[in-house]
Amino acid sequence: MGNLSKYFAVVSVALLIILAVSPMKDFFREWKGYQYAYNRLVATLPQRVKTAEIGIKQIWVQKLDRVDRCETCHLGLKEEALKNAKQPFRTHPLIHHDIEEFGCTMCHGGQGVATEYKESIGNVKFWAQPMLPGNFIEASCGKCHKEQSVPKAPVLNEGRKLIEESNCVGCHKIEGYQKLWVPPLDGIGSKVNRTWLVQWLKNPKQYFSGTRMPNFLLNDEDADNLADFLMTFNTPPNNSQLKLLPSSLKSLPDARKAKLIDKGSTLFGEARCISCHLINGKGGYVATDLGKIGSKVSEQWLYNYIKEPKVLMPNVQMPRYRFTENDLTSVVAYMESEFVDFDVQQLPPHTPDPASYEKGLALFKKYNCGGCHALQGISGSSELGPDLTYVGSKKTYEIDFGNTKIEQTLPSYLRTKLLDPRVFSLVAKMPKFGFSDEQAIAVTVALMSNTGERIPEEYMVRPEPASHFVPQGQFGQLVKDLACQSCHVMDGTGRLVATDLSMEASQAQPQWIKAYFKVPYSLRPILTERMPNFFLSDAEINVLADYMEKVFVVDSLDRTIKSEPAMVSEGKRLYYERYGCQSCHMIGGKGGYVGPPLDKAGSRLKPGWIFHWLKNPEAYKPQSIEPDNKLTDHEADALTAFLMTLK
Amino acid sequence: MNRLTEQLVRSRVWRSIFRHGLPLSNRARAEAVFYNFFLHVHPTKVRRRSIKFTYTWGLGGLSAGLFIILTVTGALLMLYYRPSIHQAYWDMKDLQFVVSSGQFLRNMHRWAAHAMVAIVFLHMLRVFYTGSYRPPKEFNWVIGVVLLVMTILLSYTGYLLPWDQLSFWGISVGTNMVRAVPFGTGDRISYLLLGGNIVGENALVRFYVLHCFVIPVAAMVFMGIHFWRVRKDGGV
Amino acid sequence: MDKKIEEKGKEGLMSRRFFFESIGLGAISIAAIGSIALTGEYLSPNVVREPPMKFKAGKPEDFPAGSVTLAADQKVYIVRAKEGYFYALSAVCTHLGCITNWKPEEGIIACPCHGSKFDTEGNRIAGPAPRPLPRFSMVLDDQGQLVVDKSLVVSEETTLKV
Repeated sequence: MGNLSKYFAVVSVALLIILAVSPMKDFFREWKGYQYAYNRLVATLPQRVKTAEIGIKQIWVQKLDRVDRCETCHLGLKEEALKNAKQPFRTHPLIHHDIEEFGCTMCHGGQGVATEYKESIGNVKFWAQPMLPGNFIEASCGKCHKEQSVPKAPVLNEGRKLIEESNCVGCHKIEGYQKLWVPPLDGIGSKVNRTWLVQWLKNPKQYFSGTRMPNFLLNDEDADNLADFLMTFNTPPNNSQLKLLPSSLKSLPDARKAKLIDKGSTLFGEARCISCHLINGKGGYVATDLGKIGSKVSEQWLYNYIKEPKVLMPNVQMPRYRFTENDLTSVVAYMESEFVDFDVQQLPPHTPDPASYEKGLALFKKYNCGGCHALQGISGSSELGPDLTYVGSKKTYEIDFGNTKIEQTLPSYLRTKLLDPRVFSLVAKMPKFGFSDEQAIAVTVALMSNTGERIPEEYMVRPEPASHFVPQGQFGQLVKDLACQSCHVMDGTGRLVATDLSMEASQAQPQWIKAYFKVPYSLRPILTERMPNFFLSDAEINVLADYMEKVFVVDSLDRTIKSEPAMVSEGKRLYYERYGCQSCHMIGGKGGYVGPPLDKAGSRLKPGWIFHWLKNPEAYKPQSIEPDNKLTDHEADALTAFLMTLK
Repeated sequence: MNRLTEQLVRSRVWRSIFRHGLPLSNRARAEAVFYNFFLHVHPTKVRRRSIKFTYTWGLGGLSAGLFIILTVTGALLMLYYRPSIHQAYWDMKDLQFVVSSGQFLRNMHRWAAHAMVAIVFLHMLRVFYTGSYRPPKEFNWVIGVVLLVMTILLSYTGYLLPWDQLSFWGISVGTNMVRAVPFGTGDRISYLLLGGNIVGENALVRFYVLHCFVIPVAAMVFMGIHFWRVRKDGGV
Repeated sequence: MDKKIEEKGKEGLMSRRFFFESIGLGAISIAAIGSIALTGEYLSPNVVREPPMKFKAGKPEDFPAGSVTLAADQKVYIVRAKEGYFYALSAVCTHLGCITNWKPEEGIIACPCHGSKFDTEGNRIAGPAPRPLPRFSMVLDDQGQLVVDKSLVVSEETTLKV
């Protein structure tokens, strides 16, 4: 009997102790320690900061279906005074979004409901939405922001640009990206020489470091076979024939050739080829490098191409210059003699493999060359690579990390894959794009923004519907022929390298526009890209100017300015004394270089445009650095009157 | 003090509830047993052997005790749990992170459930080795087996409720095993069990109802019969 | 002699037994009381998913002068008096908590449950409601939004001039 009561006592006390553990654990919750620490910290501050009430704090965002309890420990998020405090108490950097409206995990990931350090922001195994590392945070912006340029998200924008430029959609399915134009391969056999092609296939960046073509890491045999296969395609597109040069350059006497080259050099400069093309790394960024073009393409192809760019490469964004036969020959002569690769390595003598066509075709299909390049109906597949539509929601356990020792997270996987595409598996086919680490992070960020998360439409920012403006008639044909839209935007279509022409006729005077086509010059001396001289005929110039006068106008920009002397002198005073415009703009050789010189503003611009531009520059050019001085109408009128006197 | 007790015992309220006096005489003690709902299952006589702890190891009593713990903690857990695929997991997380003693109750429920499966099974072994299934107790053995099956079913239906990956696949596998039932009924049973073809919203609600109502109530009825028989057959 | 020892031992045993039993019973009672207390705490939620007491009602220019607008989620009327000032009026009837309706044609706030009627100031004009509708604190934040805090009841004369 005695033993029994002893057992009873022991068991009861044990039960009591076990039951006491639970309230103890509740009492010493981790977050309570942080809250006490916060209140102690706040007491030491010189500023008055409200102490925290002890208890779990949460943000419930009903529309996003999220409960975030991060504020239980991150108590100083909105307290300016805690800017330099240690985490978890530091002030949140200023963001555009209201924390109450978006919660925390929408951007940061992690387990919002958790109230423990390890569970909430630690790397919980298999947690579907792990905390995003700081340098990938902009991936979250992209979950809702699908517009072209996301404000205050430079990394995301850069990544999206890189995805588009790298033509990832050639092999992968990704929503929201367009396939870019890539040179078709029809007729490549009559365009390039085999030596160049083999070396290009092995390492495209060696020839042109800025090329979009990635490195497929081919071995010698594969490069040979693929080159032999491609060289068999020597008929230009649409079965057109290459025309012969009027006189073969090789057979010309040296003296005549030197004269031709000399003339070609002048024309090459006048045509401003380097507005778009690079010469050994210097020049525009729109088109390919011409620095070694003489060692790449045949003179006959070059002659035909400059003469009729769109015949050899349909849809190419190269303007058709109005060269005379003689001028054209001299430009070709100049380019073939000047732009030669002197370091070109001669390949060992090569006897084609009898099966090279089949082997080359197999390689062409294996590496999905057709995903980007068109070649006589051998089409590529946009589904060769994994579907990346929801790549941002890929779970860690779905990823094969191979034998690598990297951190087992999605961002680290993508970043590593982009830097070294074959590192996880030897049978991977993805080529190397030669991204820098920053670029790899940017692309990762852009990819991670493609999640399958269902976000209410009211939170989404969709891209503006694409413009379908196509200029018509004679003007339209000229625009196509001159590839105006590779540099200019017209009513929302085109590439913005130079200016947006959508309201050009409201901005500039017609006489000036016509004169400009004759002798284009750069309005801003510091820019590389300048308007080329296409050597247009007067009739063509009239077509362009007349159309612009009719279509590219905005009536609301009209304004008549009284050019009374009093107004002019007031404007002059405002220009030089009140607003100090001369610090950026030049008049008569005096002033800054940042803005365009205003010497002939009076014969170039329309007064209504000057007025409206001065009133609100950002409304017309969001990235403009022209300050908005909040001018009154009268001040703007006076300034306009003054500027219009500069003829 | 004594007078107060006496007054209380003599009061009408007391007498309406307890129809006997204080158990001071043998008669009163016997009446106390006969008239009390909880005590009336007591056997008239108990064999000395079966009182010995090492004979029964108290396994039946432990199972009953665990069942009570599970009922109480389960009822409390139901207050914070909503059986919908949208909320079940988060409710479980809330129990872990923000409800006072929530994690403790959940753990208690879980460990008690594990223990109950083990102990009921051990109980069956004990009954087997002591030959307690022999007549006249053969029917009670059958009821015992039914209770064992119910214990396992309770454990299994509760497995789905946290609605995490383990639950989901556990139930997917289990209900696919049901499809192996012959005579073409397997698919039908699985369909009825899940309320559909996949483990989804219907399955969760069905398992919730089975776990919290149908099986426990059935188990209570069988337990009543089981205990009654044990007592009447001279067990503890 | 033997008997004496036996008795003594029995006595000692008895007291030891009593000691252990009281420890055991004591521990069990503390555990029981503790469990009940813990259950009580368990039953009271530490967090709730309810709309926050403080909410943004909108910009002042969204409300024309002389308008009564119901913020339905929050059960609050945003009133802009004819003179242009603002106040936030509870839409919950002070009788038994039904949601009142704004009747623009009559210019009154009426409760559908038991017929209480209030004017736009919140004063009771008819029905069983014991008190006028309370006013909540309302301020203009730095983004120009009206912010109502339902946890702060203010006096019946308090208004916000914008």
